[in-house]
Amino acid sequence: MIKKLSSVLVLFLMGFVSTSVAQHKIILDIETDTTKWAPVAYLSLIPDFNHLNTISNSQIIEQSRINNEGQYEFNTEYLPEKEHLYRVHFSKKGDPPASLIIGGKDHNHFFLFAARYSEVSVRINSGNNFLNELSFEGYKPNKALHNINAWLATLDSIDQDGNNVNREYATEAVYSDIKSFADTCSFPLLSLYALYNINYAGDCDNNPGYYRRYLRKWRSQKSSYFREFRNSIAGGIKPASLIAIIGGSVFMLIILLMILSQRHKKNKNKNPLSELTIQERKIFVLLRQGKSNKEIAQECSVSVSTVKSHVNSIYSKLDIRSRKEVMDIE
Amino acid sequence: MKTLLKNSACLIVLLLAASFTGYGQEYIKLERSKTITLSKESRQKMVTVKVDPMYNYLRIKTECELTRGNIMIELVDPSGRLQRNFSIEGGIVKGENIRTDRMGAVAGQMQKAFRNPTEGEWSVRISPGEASCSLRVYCIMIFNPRTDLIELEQIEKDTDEHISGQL
Repeated sequence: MIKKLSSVLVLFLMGFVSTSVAQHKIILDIETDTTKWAPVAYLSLIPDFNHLNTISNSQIIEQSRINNEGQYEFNTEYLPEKEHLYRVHFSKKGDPPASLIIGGKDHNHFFLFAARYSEVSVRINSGNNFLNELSFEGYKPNKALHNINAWLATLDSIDQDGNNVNREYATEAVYSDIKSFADTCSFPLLSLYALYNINYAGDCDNNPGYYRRYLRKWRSQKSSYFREFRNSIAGGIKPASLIAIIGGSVFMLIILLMILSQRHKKNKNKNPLSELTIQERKIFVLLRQGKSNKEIAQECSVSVSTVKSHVNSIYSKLDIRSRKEVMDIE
Repeated sequence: MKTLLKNSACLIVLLLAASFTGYGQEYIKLERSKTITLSKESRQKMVTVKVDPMYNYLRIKTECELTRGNIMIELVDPSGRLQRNFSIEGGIVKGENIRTDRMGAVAGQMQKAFRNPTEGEWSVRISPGEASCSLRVYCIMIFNPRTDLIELEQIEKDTDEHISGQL
């Protein structure tokens, strides 16, 4: 019984030890041509996605020489706690450590996501093509990151091997796929990385709704990557509510101006006599002929008091106060 | 029989003429290279490459090494679309474990190749910011009547050897 218990305890401790010595490292299993490339890998922190194609000494945070097992290693325990994008690059012999080669057979770098204590393993399957022969293990978003880069690499191949028609069509198709991916991706940095690779600035004008929704979806993200993104498109996309308020106000103003203009036109063209009733017009004509209330009553076969009432109404409608002013109306 | 012989002869002549027309077009290769040195006061510069529709392959490569300031280099196609870009920022090395014999120097390089390139003016836009640097723009255009025979990897290797060396 005691033997059984002790063996269980040993197994438990072995399990505990094996998990507690987990390697918090980025391990690169990459065979480089040492006659051409220096046997050193450099790790750079990319502070925002506008700096994907920027190289500087200050970006490099660590270098690793090849070890006895033919691997390069970077410790992730000192990395920032939150996820960031990193670039791993190699330099040709004789070149400065900070050297970036984009495109062609000497393309010398690749990107990966990592956070403090991440475990990432990168292997190159054949040759040293950093564009599409890599395979990632460990920190999950890197596999999807590699897929995006592979999609983009197909555009380079089409530029090199296709014709103009294929090029346009293929670019549209790849951009559309990447944009859909960005829309559904649950890892915010990866989603944003995808957008930065499809010339989102130009797309903002054509499809502002997409980017408004996108900003809403990731509004809780406070990283430097999202801050930079928000700043870069702030001028390009106006919030929907603001557009609605401005549009509504302009519409109301136009309607108001139209009503006022119609009323002004109506007032200007109106003949004041048109407001008089038939009976009032008849009495108005008799007033102009200088007839008294009694004469008008006889002519119209109504009582004098009725005539007086009509006369008062005429004065009121024509905004006059005496018979003399009746005579002055043209 | 006579007609058959006559028709066959005509067919042979036609086939020969067609094949000679194809081979009559020669392989043409045009290379251009420009080296520019920039100092602190240098302003934006543009290197343009006019691509004639006859060429069915274009490769543009730009390399730059900088010791101070910063620089952005962009490749723009005739329609104004940005095809590729990179930027270099100089400065002192911050990481304690970075030690090299070329402390402070930073290098960048970009290249892009096109089969059946868009005709017109391609440009390499160079925007320096108080930069002390040397840069080289290299361009090769090829016409090959048999497009499928263009060995891209070989061309890339040849051109790299041709322009290799310190800036």
